[in-house]
Amino acid sequence: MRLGIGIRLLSLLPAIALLATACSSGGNTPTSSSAKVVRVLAVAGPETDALIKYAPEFEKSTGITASIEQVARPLWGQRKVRELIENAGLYDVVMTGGGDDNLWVKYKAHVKDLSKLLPAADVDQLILKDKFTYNGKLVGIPQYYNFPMLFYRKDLFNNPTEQANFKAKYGHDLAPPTSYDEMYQQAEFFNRPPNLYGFFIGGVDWSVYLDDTYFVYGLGGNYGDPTSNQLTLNSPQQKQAMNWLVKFSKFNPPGWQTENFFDGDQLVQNGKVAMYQNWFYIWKTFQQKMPDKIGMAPLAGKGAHLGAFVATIPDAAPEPDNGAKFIQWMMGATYQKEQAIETGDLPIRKDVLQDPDVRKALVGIEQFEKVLPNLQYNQTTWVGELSAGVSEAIAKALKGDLSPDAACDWLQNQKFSGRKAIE
Amino acid sequence: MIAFSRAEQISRVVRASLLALAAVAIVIPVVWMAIGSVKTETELFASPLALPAAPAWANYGSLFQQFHFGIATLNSVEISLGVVAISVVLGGMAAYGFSRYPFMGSRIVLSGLLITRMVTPAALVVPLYLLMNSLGLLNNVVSITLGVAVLNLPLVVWILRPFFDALPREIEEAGLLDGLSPFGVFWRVAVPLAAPGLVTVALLSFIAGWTDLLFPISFSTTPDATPLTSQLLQMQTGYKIYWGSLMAGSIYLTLPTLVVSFALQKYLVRGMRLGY
Amino acid sequence: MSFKRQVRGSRSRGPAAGLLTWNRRVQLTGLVLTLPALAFAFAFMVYPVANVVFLSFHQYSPLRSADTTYAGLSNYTWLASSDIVAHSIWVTIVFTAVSVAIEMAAGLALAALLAKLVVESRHAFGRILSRVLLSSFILPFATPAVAGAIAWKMLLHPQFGPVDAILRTDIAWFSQFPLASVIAADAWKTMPFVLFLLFAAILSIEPDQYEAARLDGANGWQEFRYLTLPSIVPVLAVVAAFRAVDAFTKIFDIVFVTTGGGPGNDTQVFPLLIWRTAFDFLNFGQASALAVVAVLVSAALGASLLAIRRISPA
Repeated sequence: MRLGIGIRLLSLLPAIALLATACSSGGNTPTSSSAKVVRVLAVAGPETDALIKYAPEFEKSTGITASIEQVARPLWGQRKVRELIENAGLYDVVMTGGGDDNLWVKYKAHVKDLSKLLPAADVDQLILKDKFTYNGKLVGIPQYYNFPMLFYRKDLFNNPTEQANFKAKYGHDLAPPTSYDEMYQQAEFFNRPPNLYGFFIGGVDWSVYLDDTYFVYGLGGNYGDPTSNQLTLNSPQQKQAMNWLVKFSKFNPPGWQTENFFDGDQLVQNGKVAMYQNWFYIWKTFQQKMPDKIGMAPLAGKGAHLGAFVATIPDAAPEPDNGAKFIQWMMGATYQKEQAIETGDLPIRKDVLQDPDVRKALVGIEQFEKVLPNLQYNQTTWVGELSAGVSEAIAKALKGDLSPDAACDWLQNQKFSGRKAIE
Repeated sequence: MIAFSRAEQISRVVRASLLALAAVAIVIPVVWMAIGSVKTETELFASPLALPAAPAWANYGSLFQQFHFGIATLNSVEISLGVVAISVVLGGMAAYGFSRYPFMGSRIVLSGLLITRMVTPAALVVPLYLLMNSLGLLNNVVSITLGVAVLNLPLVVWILRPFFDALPREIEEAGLLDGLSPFGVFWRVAVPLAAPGLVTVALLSFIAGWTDLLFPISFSTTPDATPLTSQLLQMQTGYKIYWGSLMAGSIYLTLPTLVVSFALQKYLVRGMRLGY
Repeated sequence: MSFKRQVRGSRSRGPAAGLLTWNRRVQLTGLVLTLPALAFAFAFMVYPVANVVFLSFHQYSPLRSADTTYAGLSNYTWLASSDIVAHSIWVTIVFTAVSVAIEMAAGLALAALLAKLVVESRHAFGRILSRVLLSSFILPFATPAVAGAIAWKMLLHPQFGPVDAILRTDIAWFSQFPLASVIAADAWKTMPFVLFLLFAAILSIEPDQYEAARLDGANGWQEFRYLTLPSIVPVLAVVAAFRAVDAFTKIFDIVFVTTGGGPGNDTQVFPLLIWRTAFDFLNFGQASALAVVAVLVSAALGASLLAIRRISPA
């Protein structure tokens, strides 16, 4: 009896001790940092590869060692939060996602105002600076610009017989589409199973969500409205987008449900698919391997999904000045030119965009410039969870469990009922 | 001794063949991965079933150059040894206490032990993450060690108690009468006698620490605190999978537990049996 | 205080048996010996579980803010009405049922065959063969779950996996048959447990019974069905129960490495759902509610296991 109580009392002691330590210590001990290192948190990808490749130039000119850590995408989300909200203080520069994280970085993240840390001359050269400014605070600098374009079988489109047949059937010329109706007609026209399919949409959740964004932004819609703080998941544009998604999926080659856009790249190269939408990273490959077969055009529609890694400096950065120097180099004309030629992505600087070498290397740059002013990003602060839900709705619509309109309503009124754009 | 009839001979051969087939099927995944780990990526995609032309040891080299496997190995070793230390010392003492010095309520605690073995690790990791965060132990192998150890402890006590139960009391009582303290008896008499059991739990604890994935991915995000298991997952970047390195890394991760398990097979099997 | 009434039954074991007057000392010594482990368990298991119960009535989402706000029962109402949670529990149940069934069947069959081999082997060859077989059957246990999952991922890869190469198909098994593939990998990993336990149980059947059966003219199959099987039913029950609880609560690594819960939510088992809610969606309030449910389920299952063990002494 007495001992029974004794056990319980004694076992409370360690817990009390731990509680005491928990209350007194608080947060992490800062990692010992020499003034000569900049710690960068980046995501695995070709753009980070380019950053790492040219980092020695930064190191030589500043004398600061660049420690660039490539993290796997699935783990990136948690790390961003730890650095930018929980102020873990492990990195000087944290790369965020331009298309998904922008609103969250603006409203929620604890980041420094880069306009105060970077030379005005560089900042002025930044294309689309407004997209990264919130209440006068410059929250991040993009490393590059990438966005989806339409890729189509140029050889088929330029074939006189095809052109004649198309004109006869649809009443207007065969040319890169300027509307989704035209795109649909063309996909339908070229849908000739089993050797050729009209379109490709990767069915894997993260890939199909991207295709959804192409349609949604293209139709002028978005997933949330920051001014009213409402979600806009069943707006007319969303419903139209969902309908288009389902319609175009009918022209997909078999097996598309478990494929992603990387597979689409292969299918187009193998001549199985007539047209598809994808990030324009693939343009370089098409150019090198089959310049006569595949053409590129802006997406039919008003807006395009902004793709970029955006460099931010956390409030808790141990060496923010080193971070600023790193970003200054990253957005500098020299690196931007090297990166553009190396990766085929667009530079972020106005002057580099006009550089003749860059314009020569980036074939079709005029097309890119048409799209550049219309780049869009997700207008909610919780895209991870949101995109998973959107993929779920898309799956329902694609399988036929719900009509596309009903799927959008389900998303807005049931799945995410009560949720806000900014949380 | 009854001789086997013809029919029985045939059945014997059939049985042995079935077993051999099963054994081959069971080792195939690992064997095939070992073969794949020395193929280049082109060979891998081009000829899945063929042996490599020349072993691509570069895959193993990449582990250390690109994927921080040097530090990760050190971390894994630290975690495993830490789990062994905590489990054997705390678990050993507790098992001996339950066995020889049952106190009021120890039966309840033992039953509680069985129940804690059934705790979903993923459920425990959520509050432990917050606790470790407040203690400042995230991104530190200590937090991983503590997490793995606390889930391992019930099993250790569970297995060790029968070992201590089975020891002859006369020797212990002789020790006590000789003037040894109970702790002295534990240390000098019981522990040496129960050495096989301690080896078993040390082995199981090592395996637990070496192979755990849940705690590393939840507690550690920086390379200098990441052990092999979660470092391996970094090769699935979401943009590209480094298949060669992934396979090589898996084999590298597997070899220590494999070697140790085969060498101490007896203890391992005993551990499996006693765990239930 | 009278200790006499405590000196009974279990108290007659141990040094206390011969040294009655030291009963109090016995209890204190027991306490000292077990205290470190108990304190450790309390600090890192009991206290956190209490904490998670507390947190389940609050909202804490670092993605939104660093504050913890009171939320009443909202996390639980979410849990009760959420499709995803119900689906996850269902997936986990299906997984458990099928995986355990396969492990038990395969483990039993192999254990029986192996036992027969060992019992009947008269030459060195038989003994060596059984040693080799036993060593190879240990392999899945000795392979870390992560490595095993990766091995299966490669085995079932549509482009370079031997399964598809031999069948001449290009089925992406983990995408098209996700749950089946996960079950296969898990059954492979855990079958050795069942095998070794049943092997020991079968070997502990007295040889005389086999002789008697043989004299009665029973063949291998009859021997198995009427002698071996009935004798090990208690062990079978306990092992199956343990495996089921383990499968339900501990399935994580394989799914995380191979399918990540997908495609969609097809393989989102309950432990993975808890982890994702906490670490992907960063909603610790909801994750805590899920964790509480998991702990309650574990407690219930653990208690039933205790009961089963008492009924069928293994």
